[in-house]
Amino acid sequence: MQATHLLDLQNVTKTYHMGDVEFPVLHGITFSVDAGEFVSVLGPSGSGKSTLMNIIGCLDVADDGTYTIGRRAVTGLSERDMAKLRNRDIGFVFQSFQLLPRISALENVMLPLIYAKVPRKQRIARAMAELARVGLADKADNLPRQLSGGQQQRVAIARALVTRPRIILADEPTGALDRTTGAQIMDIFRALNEEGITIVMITHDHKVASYASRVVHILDGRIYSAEEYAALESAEGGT
Amino acid sequence: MFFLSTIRMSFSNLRANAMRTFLTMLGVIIGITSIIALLAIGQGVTDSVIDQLAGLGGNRATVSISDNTVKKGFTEGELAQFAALEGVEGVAPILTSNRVITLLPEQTNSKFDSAHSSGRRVMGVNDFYFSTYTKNAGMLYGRSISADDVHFRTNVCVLGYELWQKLYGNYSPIGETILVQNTPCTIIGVMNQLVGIDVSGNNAIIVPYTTASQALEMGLPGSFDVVIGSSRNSDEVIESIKNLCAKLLGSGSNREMYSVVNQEEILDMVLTITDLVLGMLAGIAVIALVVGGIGIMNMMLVTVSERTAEIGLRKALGARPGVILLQFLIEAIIISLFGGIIGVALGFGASYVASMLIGYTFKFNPLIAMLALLFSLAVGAIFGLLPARRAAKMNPIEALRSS
Repeated sequence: MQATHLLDLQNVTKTYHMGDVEFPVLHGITFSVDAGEFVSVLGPSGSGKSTLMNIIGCLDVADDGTYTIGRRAVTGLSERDMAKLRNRDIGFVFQSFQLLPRISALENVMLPLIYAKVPRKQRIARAMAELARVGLADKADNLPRQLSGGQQQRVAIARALVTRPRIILADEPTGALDRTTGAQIMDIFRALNEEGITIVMITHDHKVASYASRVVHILDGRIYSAEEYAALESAEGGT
Repeated sequence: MFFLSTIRMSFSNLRANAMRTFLTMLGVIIGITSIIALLAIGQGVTDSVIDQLAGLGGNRATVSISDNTVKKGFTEGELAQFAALEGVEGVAPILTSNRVITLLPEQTNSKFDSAHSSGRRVMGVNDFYFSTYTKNAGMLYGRSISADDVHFRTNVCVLGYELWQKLYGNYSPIGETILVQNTPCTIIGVMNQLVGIDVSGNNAIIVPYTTASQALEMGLPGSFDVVIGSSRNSDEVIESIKNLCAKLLGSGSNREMYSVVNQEEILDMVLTITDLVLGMLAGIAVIALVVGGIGIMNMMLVTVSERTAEIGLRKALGARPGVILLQFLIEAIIISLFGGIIGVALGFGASYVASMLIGYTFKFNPLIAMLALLFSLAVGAIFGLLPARRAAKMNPIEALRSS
C-alpha cells in the first residue's frame, strides 16, 4: 500500500451555474501532492486553475469527487470547519499581497494567529520569527504602504508561514512584481521548500513554474503531467 | 483574549474614519441626551412638587361655595364643626384683600414717612395657618396669632418678613400700632421668611380672619382648606366633609353649589399631565434614537462593502463567520455605547443646569443611566446585526476578487 499523499484530489468536478446555463470548469481532476514537494500548476487563464486553487485552499467545495488533506476529507465540511482548516493547514500567498493597509507588517503577520486563538505574547514572538525568516525583522512596525512590492509579498509569505501550515498555496505570487523582485520571491519559495515546506503554486508563467520541482499542466479543466502535456502539444503541432 | 484583540481592531477601524464615526455617533448622542435630560428634569420637577405638597403636612382638601347666592360664607361656628370632624386635623380659612395701611405718626423709628399710607395685602387667617401653611417657619419676633385672637377678634397683626423689611428695615416693631383701613392693629409678631410653594404671607399683614371679616369688612370666608390627618382614609373624611357642606347649605342644596377638591386628586392630575408630556417627549427622543440607529446601520453597511476585500482575506486566513459577525457587531456597539456614554453625561449635565435655573434638587439616578446605556447598547446590537450578518455571509472567493 502506497504512502498517503498530503493532498489528494480524486475525480474532482466543478460546474458553475448562471441561470440555466452551465459552465463546467473542472472535469474530473485527479491530482496529488506529497509532503515536501514544490508543485507548480501551470495553465492559461480560463483553464480552471483559479477554481482548482480555491478548492485546494478550502475556499470552495467540489461538486463531486473527493479531496483529502492528510487523512481528512474536506468534502462535506461546514463553513466553520473549512475556516478552521484554512487557518491551520493552508498558508495563502496572493498575487496582490492582500495585506491590511492600516496595521503594521507585524500585526499583519499576527492576524492568522488571532483566529487560531494563540495568546498575544506568543503571537508577537512567532510573527517576529517569521518576519526574520523572510529578512524583514527591521520592518516589523512599518505599514504596508511604507514597504516595496517585494517586501510586501515577503510579509505575506511570513503571514502564510506563521501558523505552520501543511501547505503554502501561492496564486501567481510574482504577478504584481517586476522580474528581478519576482525572482527574489521565487528564491525564497525554493529556500523554504528546501527546509521541507510543501508548496503548491498556481501560475500561467512557464519561467515561474520552472522553479518548482514538479510541474503539472491544467487545460480546459483537466490535469496533465508534464509528459502528457508535451505529447498533447506535439500531437496538436502535428495536425 | 480573542475578544480583546477584536475590540482593539474595531477601535483602529473606527479611528481610521474618525469623522464618519463621530457623525454617526452624534445621532445616538442626541437621542440619549434628550431622553436622559427629559427623564432627569421631569423626575426632579415632579419630586420637588411632591416634596412641597407633602411638606405642608397631611393631605389637604379645599372646600368652597360655588354658588354664593345660597350662602355667602362660613361662620366661625360652622368652621369649628368642620374642624371637629373625625380625621380632620384642622381648617384654615384665608381671606385676602388689599387695604390701605398707615403707620402712626409717633413711630419715628420707621423708615416710613409717618404721614404716608400705602395699599398692602391683608390676610385673615387662624392659628392653624401658622402651624401648617408656613411650614413651621417660626417667628422672627414676638408671637403668632392665637386661637383666642381669632375667637375674640382682637386687633392684632403679624407682619410678613418682606413687608417688615420694607416698613421697618431691621428693627423690631413689636407693640407698635398700624392703621389698617381705620382699624388700629397692634403688631404682635414678625414671621420668618417663608419658602416653598405658598409664600404669599411674606408680603402681607396677617390678622385674625374674624377681625378681617368684621372690622376690615372682608366678609365671611367662602372657601377654606381642610388638612386631613395622614393616618386617615382621606376618601371617608372627604365624604363626611361633603355631607357637612350639604347640611350647612340647607335642604335645597345640591352638589353643584359647593365643591370639595382633594389635593391628592389635584396632585394626581398634575402628575398625569406631566407624565403625558414627558411620555410624548420621550417618545420623540426614542424616535431620535431609532434614527441614530439607522445611521449606524447605514454607516456599517458602507463599511462592510468598503472592506469586502478585508473580509475575504480574514476568511481566507481562517476567520469563522461568527468571528466576522462579532467584529462588525462590536464596531456598531462601540459607536452606540460611546454615544450612549456621552449622551448620559450631557443629559445629566443639562438636568444639572436646568435644576439651577428652575430650582429643583438635582439628582443623579444611576438606574436611568444604566438603562440608557443598555438601551444604546441594544440600538447598536440591533442595527449592527444586519450589516454584520452581511459581512459574515460573504463568499470569500468573491470578496477576495473584489480587490
